[in-house]
Amino acid sequence: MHYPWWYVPLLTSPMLIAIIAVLHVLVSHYAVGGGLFFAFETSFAYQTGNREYLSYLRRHAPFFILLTVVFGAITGVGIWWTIGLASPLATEVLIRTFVFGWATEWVFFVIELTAAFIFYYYWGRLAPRIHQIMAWIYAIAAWISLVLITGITAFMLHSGRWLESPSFWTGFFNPQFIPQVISRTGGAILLTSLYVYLHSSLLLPNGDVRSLIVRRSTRPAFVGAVLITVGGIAWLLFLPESARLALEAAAVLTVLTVLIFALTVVVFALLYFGPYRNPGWMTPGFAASLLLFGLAAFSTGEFIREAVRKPYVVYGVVLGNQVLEKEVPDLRRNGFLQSGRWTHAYVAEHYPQAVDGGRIIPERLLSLPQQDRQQIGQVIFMHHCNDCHAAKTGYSAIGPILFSRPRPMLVDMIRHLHETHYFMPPWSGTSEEAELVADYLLTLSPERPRGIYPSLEKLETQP
Amino acid sequence: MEPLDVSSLPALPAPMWFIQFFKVLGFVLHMIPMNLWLAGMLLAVILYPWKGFPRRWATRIGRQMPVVVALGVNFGIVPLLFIQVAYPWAFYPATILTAWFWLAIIGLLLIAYYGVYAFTFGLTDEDKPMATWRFLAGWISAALFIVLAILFSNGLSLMAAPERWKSIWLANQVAGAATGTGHNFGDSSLWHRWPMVFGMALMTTAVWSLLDSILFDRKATSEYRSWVARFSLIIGVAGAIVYASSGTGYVFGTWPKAVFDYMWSEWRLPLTLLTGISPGLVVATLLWIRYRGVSGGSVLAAVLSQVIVLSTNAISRQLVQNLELSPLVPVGQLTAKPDWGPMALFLISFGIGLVVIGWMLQQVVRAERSPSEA
Repeated sequence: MHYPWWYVPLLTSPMLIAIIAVLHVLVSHYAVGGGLFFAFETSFAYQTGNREYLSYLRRHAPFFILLTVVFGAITGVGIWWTIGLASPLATEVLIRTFVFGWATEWVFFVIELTAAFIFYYYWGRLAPRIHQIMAWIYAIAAWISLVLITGITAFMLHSGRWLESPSFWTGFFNPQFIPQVISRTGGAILLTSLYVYLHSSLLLPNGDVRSLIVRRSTRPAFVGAVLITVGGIAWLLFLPESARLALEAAAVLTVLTVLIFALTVVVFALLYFGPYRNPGWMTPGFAASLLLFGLAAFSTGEFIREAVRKPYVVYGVVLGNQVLEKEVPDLRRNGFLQSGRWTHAYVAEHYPQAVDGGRIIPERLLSLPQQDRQQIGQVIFMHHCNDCHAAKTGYSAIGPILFSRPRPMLVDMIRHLHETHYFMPPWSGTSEEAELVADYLLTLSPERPRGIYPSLEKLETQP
Repeated sequence: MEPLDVSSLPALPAPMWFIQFFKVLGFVLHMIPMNLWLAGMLLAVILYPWKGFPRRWATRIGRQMPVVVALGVNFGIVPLLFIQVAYPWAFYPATILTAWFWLAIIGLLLIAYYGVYAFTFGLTDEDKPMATWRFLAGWISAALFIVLAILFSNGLSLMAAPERWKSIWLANQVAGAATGTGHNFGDSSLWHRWPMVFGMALMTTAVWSLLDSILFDRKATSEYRSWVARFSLIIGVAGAIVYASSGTGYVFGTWPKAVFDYMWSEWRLPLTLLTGISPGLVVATLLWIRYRGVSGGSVLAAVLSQVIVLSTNAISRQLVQNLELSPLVPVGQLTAKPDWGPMALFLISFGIGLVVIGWMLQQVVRAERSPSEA
């Protein structure tokens, strides 16, 4: 535990990752699928000599560049920025394990970027064959970058054989790798069609070209939808057992799983009855609705993918509270405050009377005045729990969750965190530290609403 | 903060020299476009309202700016990746303590980048004025690039100053958790290093302008090239003065004795001297070009001189950084357990990437030589 914890009131800092990541994937998949779109469609337009279609594609290119090269690229860097701030230990593990995967991905980024700019800025100045090759280079490089990053993100959900024999290759080719590559490729293709529908419906009058675009984008959309389904089923089959259980155990995940299923059905239906059967329906309103449903399905999928990892950030390696799983026994033995570089520094600075020869003495912490005990409890809460829980109010606030729980029950629950809820990280401190956390949590817990159990209240007040 | 136990740190996935080589290489590659957006965008918005050659220059660099920013961001990934491999124990604490400033880089960069496009799409070769909002967007971008450079230096200078972490953390925490509102603006080295970067940015922009006028600007007249030579000399000399004065302040005003003794001894002495005098090489070549005329050879000399400025700066900075971090972790004692297979994957991809990009650029050169509408 080398790293300080970043406290973001109400939201918790890891939620910033979720926000930026969702915004990013909605564009980054278009960056990949859009590459295939341009490669196939410019080839088609050149080969059929369809200048009107080529002209539309040329108008689509700046929209694509402005969205993917600017927003997509910067939010991509933004994810990296945020994971380093909100999840430094997991980021360190990932970077150390996959540094050359990331470096290779960077090479393909540079190829992508170069191809994209040449494709766009030299439109009409390159020979058609060369222009098409540029589009294909972009498409292939973009897809390879998707494959490379998916190997790393899939590892976070299921580290597979890496735990027994840690190496780049065992980590990269994890059980979730192929399912996620399939579903992400499908997502990229489907989402691109939805972006194309919206863009073309806004820019082109209803006519032959728009009809052609809609027709030509619908088959890939169905292919994408099939790939998502196949990849999604494989994703489910190859989930670690804990993640499968989480899907069933957490009500919110069950609801979201049903929601994603419903949204997927809606997108399928809209694709079939809209662009496939009735291309004329493709008005800006219809296209915008279709895109919104697609984006909603995508965002929900990303949220579920993140949530089922609990209690891990990197499965079997890094727990959600920035603790290495293998360190837990040592932390229980030596103390959470003692083992953390910053928690130790805090206690040494503010409560030197509890430190002897560099060691924090747990009994001395317990003998401190109540207010100090609560303060130290808050220190542990911040570093052990704030990854997933805000304090009094905010994201998954702990106060309302634990309301009116009696102290002994609270202490017992803290000591047996992962046994109470298996998707919680195990308690990583001493028994005394559990008492201190309980002291603090009691300050957050609101009173039980009066009148909620009238018959029991009557019973409790009877002599 | 207390020193870290080196034996408790996991082994590096590549030898330290390899990591540092790519970190420095990536940093130099990043510096070129970053310098261009830092000084180039500012000069573009200043010169665009003028008439004649200043406007022509502003229009050209303005049109190049979207690609420049894209490359700068992209090349920045390499040094940041290798920093996180080599010094996670320094990089993460420093950025977490200054989290909101560090994270602001992303939001501000996004605004600045869209501002660049708004400005670029409004550029015109005619004498028509640009729409006010586009011009304003250009100014906002130019200002934000300066702010971004300061924010970047804020985080990275704190990374190399672990002795400052504790006080910043204690002043910006809730129950020991960093609020991310800390900053390193009180560090005097920051206020020397940032102007050094700006000085280099002016010099890079000067050299780029010459290169552009001779290599890419097919419509450049000899009068325009001559104007560019004069203009490059002015901004190049200004950059060298800023670099030299702030660099002198940095070395003699902020370096602790240990760093001073280290950098002024053994094989590092010639490096330190070269880092200090290399801007003189750039100025000399710019003077030569100004009075002897622009030629391929002279511009190549200017480019090489500026590459020396950027490289010596990056290498010297790397050495100083290692020394500054040594109280926390002696960098030389970190162990490595190289991951040869993935390393080979990267190096092979790197080679293939160079070939593919080379081929693509060759097509661009061909298209430039024979422009035709398809």
